[in-house]
Amino acid sequence: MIRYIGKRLLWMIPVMLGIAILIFSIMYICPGDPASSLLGPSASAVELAAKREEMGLNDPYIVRLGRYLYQTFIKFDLGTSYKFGTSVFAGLMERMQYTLVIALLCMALQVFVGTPLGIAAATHHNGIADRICMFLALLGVSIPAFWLALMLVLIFAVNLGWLPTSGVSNGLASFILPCIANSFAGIASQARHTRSSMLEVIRSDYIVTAKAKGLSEKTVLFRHALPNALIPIITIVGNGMGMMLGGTVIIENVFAIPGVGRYMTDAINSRDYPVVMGGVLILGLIFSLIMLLVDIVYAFVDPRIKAQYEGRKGKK
Amino acid sequence: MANKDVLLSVKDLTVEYTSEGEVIHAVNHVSFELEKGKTIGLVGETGAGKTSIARAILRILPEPPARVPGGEIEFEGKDLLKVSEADMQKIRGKEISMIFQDPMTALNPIMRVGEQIAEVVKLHEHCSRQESIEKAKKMLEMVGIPGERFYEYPHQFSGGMKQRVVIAMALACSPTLLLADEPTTALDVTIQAQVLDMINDLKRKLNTSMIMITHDLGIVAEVCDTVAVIYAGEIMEYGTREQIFHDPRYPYTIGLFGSLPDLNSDVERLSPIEGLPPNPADLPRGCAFHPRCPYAGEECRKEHIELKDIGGGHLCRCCRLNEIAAGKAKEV
Repeated sequence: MIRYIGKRLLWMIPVMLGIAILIFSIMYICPGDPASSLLGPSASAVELAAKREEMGLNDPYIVRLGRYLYQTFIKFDLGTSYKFGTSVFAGLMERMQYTLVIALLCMALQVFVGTPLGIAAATHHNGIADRICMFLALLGVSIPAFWLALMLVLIFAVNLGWLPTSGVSNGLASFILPCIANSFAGIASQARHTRSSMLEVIRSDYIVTAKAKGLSEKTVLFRHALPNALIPIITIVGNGMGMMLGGTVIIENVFAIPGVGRYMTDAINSRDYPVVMGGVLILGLIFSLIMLLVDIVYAFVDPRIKAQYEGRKGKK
Repeated sequence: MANKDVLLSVKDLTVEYTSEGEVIHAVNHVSFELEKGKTIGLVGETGAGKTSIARAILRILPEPPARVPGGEIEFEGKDLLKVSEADMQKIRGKEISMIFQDPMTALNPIMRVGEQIAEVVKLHEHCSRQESIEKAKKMLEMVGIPGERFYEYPHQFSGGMKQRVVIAMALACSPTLLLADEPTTALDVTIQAQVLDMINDLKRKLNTSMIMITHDLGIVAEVCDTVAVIYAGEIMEYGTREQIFHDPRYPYTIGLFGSLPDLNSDVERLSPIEGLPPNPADLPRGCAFHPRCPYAGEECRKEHIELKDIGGGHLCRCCRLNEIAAGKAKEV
């Protein structure tokens, strides 16, 4: 198992290199001039040319790529933001806390609300509970997050005045609306996946075996069906977590939360190359780590997968 | 057949499945009795309703789509169709247990094998965890698997070993009635014999009654005392093993024996029963077997035919027994 984890960690080196080269190339091809967006429209041609030379933008692609990779992977420096003149890494970490709080809260909502909904739907297959859950799930996947966010703000912040409209200055209360708006789709898809996975498992032979043993319905459900049904759902949760970290842009914009998503969209608009590249790289790293975590969790839940990781040792 | 040692008496059992508005008549008015320590064989083709009978007894049919609209299942004085679910849970696994057909899917893939046996022991014998583990290990050894493999998972076991685990699980609480649903179908022929011997041994030791569901007449000959031939969800012929094997009367039973390869005669082809089993959603009128029956006449198509005693408790659902006897005489 440890060897497997080690191998997976080593594999992340080429993955990160690949991401770095790709994002660098994309930014290189992208039209736009960081020098002009930095100096503003009033800058003269001479000033611009000097700035470009200073930023090393006139060097050929391969030289710039080499310089970037050297700086990132040998010196472990993500560079300085063109716009703010501060360290990209520090900038990211400062904003990461907000994004992380939202992502974790959303995942918690998704798992702890979506899963029970799915179980309820599956155990009352074709019943009223099932229909209600599935209607909510359909609603959840069809409602755009930004619309829901605006509606929530309108109701709970503007009309009722219970919660702040935006910003992060009110502690946990500031995160309630963003998290609800952001996790609604996740809850819906979690419920749907749990339901279909549960339904599949409930029909399998070993559930009949468990029933034939005289176990109560609850025991059959929670000891035999649920652990099996959750195996495919682990991936969905992991994926959702990864997506959530990079994909809260809309919510961060609606609620004016200074998170990673907004940092990066702003950077893309102002051609702040180091921020964009650094952000993508860090998110890629986190995503890879989460995927590794998902695979490790798999091994603990499913002995068949663990046996695969451990190779032929211990397998008949 | 009035015997005071009757353990299980099934009367008029009917099972239906509903599928896309169609009603599928899987089991139609099946009645039989089983004495203590005896074995009855339910023989018939795939889809004849044998498994549905067993699952109805244990009340583990998937409901919906399955439904038991009528009948009685009397087990030790109780009608199993009427007892509460909570009481049924006390019977399942303890007094009646089942060996499932497919060992590859009958075990929970993410639970330790021994744990799956210990679970049923702990549930019914109300013992400590340690005791249940000890008992589970003993059960594993009884079916020929070393006790230290308790901690392994189903994927580490071969098919034959998994089937033994299923058997160990079924026998763990010394049930009075064992439902064996094709316990050897998924196994190699070499393992089949071992498993059958084992079931027979254990049965004798624990004085368990058994319902053996199979389509293998060889198994019937080896383990059953009485035999019920099931076709399209009905008992077509019922009798002791000797009656059925030495004097099969119903055309389907005759066909079953006729389709066995005979080692003594030199034939190139097997002689199967022509045709396919009827669609249980749309059973033929009259005798369900008449479309495939070589002896069928006009009266077979008209009315539903009743089971008749044709001597010594040998029951047969056929109205042309005389013609068949004459036909057989001619063949000889």
